[in-house]
Formats: sequence, C-alpha cells, structure tokens
Amino acid sequence: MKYLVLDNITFYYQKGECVLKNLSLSVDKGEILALLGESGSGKTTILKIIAGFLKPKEGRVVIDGKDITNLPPNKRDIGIVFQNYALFPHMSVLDNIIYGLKVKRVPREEAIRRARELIDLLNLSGLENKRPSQLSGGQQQRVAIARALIIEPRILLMDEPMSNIDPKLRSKLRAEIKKILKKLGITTIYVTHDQEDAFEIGDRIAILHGGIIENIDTPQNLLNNPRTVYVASFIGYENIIPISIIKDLIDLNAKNVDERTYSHVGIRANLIKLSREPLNDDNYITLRGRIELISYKKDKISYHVSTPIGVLEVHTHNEFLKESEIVYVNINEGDLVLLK
Amino acid sequence: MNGFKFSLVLGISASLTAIAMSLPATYAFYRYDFKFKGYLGNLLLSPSLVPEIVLSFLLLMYFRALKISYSFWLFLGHVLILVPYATRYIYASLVNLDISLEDAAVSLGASKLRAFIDVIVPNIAKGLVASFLLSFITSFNAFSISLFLSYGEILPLPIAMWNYLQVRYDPTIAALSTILVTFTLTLSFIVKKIVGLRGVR
Repeated sequence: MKYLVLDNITFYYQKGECVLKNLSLSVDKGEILALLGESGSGKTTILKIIAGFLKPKEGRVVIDGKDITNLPPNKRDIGIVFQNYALFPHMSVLDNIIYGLKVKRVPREEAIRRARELIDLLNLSGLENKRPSQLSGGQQQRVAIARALIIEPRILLMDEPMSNIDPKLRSKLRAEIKKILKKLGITTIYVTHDQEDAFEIGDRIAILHGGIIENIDTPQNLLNNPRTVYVASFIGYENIIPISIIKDLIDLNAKNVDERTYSHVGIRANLIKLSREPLNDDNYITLRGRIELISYKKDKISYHVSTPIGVLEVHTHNEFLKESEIVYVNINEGDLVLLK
Repeated sequence: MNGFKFSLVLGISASLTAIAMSLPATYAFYRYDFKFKGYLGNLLLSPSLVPEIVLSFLLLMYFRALKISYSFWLFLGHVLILVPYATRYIYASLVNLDISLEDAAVSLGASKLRAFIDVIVPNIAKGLVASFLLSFITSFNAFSISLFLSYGEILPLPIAMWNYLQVRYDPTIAALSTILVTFTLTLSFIVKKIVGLRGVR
C-alpha cells in the first residue's frame, strides 16, 4: 500500500502563475524518494506542502490512508532536516535533540534516554553539551537528523542536506545516511538539485521540471530510459536527435512505435563506436563523418563528429584519430532511446 | 532627586511597554504578508517623522479632548515616541535571525506561539535588551514631549532642570549634567558590550 500520496496537487502563490500543476506522487513505506530538480522546479514547494507550511490550492495530501491536507504542521508528525539545519543556537546539542519530546511533555529523563539511542546511532557522543556553533557541518547535519528522528516521524523530509558539506565528504555521508534511514525503515523524501546526491541516495528518483514530474523511476531505469527530452538532457545524454532527421535510418515500424508520440531519440556518447571502415553489421546504423573537435577528459577522449544527422559527440579511449579525419560512426539501433 | 527617580520610573515603564507592543507587531511585519502592510509600517514609524514639538502639542490637545487622566499623559506620550525606535531595533535583530528556526520548532510539534517563545525570543534577547536601553535613553532625554505633557508637582528630570535654571543660576545643574552624561555614556557602553559587532554578524 502507498504510504504517502500526493493527489493531484496544484499550487500557485498568485493567480495566473502555476508552481505545481496537477502533481501526483506516491511513496511506499520505508522508501527513499529523491526529488531532483533545478531551482524553481517546485521541489521545495512540494516539501512545504507535505510539511504543512503551504496549503495546496487543489488536491490532497494523504499519509497512511488519512487525508492530512488541512492538518496544521505541528500536528503532522513529520520530521524535517532543513537546508541550513536550523539548529537552535541558544540550546545545547542535547536540548536541540530532545526539543520535540519536551514539547510533547515527555519527562526529561525519558527524553534523554531516547536521545541516547540516536546519539549512539548517529555517532554524536561527547558532543551533547556543545553549542551548534561549535560543531562542524557534518556534525550539525547529524544533530539535525537526530532532532527530526526523535519524534518518530511518519515521514522524514530532507531539504538539500548536503549543500553545506564539503564536496569531498558528501559521498561518504550519503552512504552513512542511507544506511541509517534503511536501518530505521523510515519513509524519506530527499530534495536535491545535485544528481549525484539523488542517484546515490534514492530508491527512486522523481525529476521535476516546471512544476510537473517529468519522470519517476529507479536510478537504473532513469539512466537507461529517460523517457523525455528534458530528463535525457538533464542527466547528461550527449546526443539528442530529432526523430524527423533520423527516422529514415531506423525502422520505427519494427519497434512498433508511432513516431508522433515521440519527438527525439537519444544515445549516450560512450555507446557510439567509431571506425575507419564501415562496420557492415545489420544491427548498426553507419554514418560517414568528419572529426571536428577532439577534447581530452579525465578518463576518456571526446570526439565531435559532423555527420549527415548533425554533430554527434562520441567518447572512446582510442587515441588514433586526428582532427578533420574521415571516420564512420556506428550506432547500435538497440542503444537508441526514444524520447517524448 | 525626585525628578531623577520619576524619569527613571517613567523611562523604564514606557520602554517596557513600547517593547511589549512592538515585539509582536514587528514579528508580524517581518514574518507575514498582509494587506496595507506598507501603510501600517509607515504608521508605526510615523511618530519619529513628525517633529517632536508638533507631536507634543497635538497630543496635549488630543488627551485633553479625550479626558485621559493627567498622570497618564506623559506615559502614553513617551510610549508613542519610543515605539518607532523599539520597532527598528527589534526589526534589526530579527533580520539577523534564521526564520527556519520557527519552522523547525513547529515541525517538532510546537505551536506558533510556543515556537516564538522557545526559539525566537531567546535568540533576539540581546536585541531586546539593547532596544530597551536605547529606548530608555531616548525617554530619559526627551524634552519637548515631557514639557508639554507633564503636570503637577513631580516633573521629569529635564523639565525639573529647566525650571531650576529659570529661577537660579548655580553649579548644581552643571554637576547634574556631568552625572547625566556619564550615566548615558555608561548605558551606551553597556549596549555596545551586549550587542556589539556580534549583533551585526
């Protein structure tokens, strides 16, 4: 059963504009969903609607079968890790962590006992009496997570939690966070604009663009089948070719595809093969081209090849080609991805 | 000496009242959007824009017409001139505050009022103290409004000094002035100590 459901949510600040358009989304219990999008895509608005800080103009928010659209934020039992962590600067780490229990009138001894478990889990022991300003970014992040988890929230919302962390440490922290979230089995919405973030932490990723979900799928499926032109270019498909240009070269009927539903095809630069002689293989589309530009990347060489269907980017490890050389570009039809 | 005591009591009570009134108003201004926000903001600050002597005269007419008891005049007048100052100082300390603190407290189950008391107030406490001290100095030194609105035997210090000077000329006033300068400087120094550069962050 779906644990969190956003049903047909529409939101705008003023009439006429539209921040979210008929957006629907559902998350399973214990799942980590990454909301990935550029700034202005509406991802923070979704977070605020789930948290209750904003009320949708249309649509419903349902948790565990109960409609909570009109419930105020302090009655929702949703934990939030804010982008800047929003730790209370005048309280010690321990008081920060147990604040949610203090509000609920849990006796202090019991609150401390429950905090102890989280302090151990999040590796915060020894810091209980420090002020948030004395902690490093990573420590502050863990305190923020502990503070959000102590109320045993039904859902944990994380808003760009890595933006204040040294890029070198992010990957390690992500792995740690994911491990903890999975151990606790907590349903999490993780908002980020960083693809690496989303792909490493999300069980599924929802890609937002202009207030709608362009695609929602597992990281693996998104990479192999981005489905829309926006998602393909967003996750780095180097070659996106209008279907009108390429349709004579590929057999759309064999794929049982109506060309009107799709506008483009995409292909990864590393899946294209370059050769001096045509491949003469029926599975491949072979095009004659000329090398326009060679650039060296960290772990590969990137060639820009001008062909009858436009300039294609090809990544290989071969160094044998020179600029302006005539080459053959070989594309396996099976590697082409149809895009809407 | 009576004048000093009276000014002290007046300054403290008027400052506290002005802050108690300004704090919720300023917070609402900072946090929320509502209709006529701009006009209301100007209205709050307007007492500091009108020349004090004009304001004092108007208040005198107004209080008489409303038949407000004399003992209350001076207090109300001082509160009125302090509100714009208190508002500005409080606003300045709110600007430095991360507003997601309130959201954090609310998401952990606190009501908005609880979040305000638990999280917002302690973090602008320094600003509130500074605001109080500066309001107090302003009230303590206010001359024209005190001149127009004071009545009876017990007068605020600046007016008492003024009256004294009109009938006598001896070093008492000069000595008193020295004490007052020292007093005001000390207060300013305390404000600087409390808020200092950390207030600007």
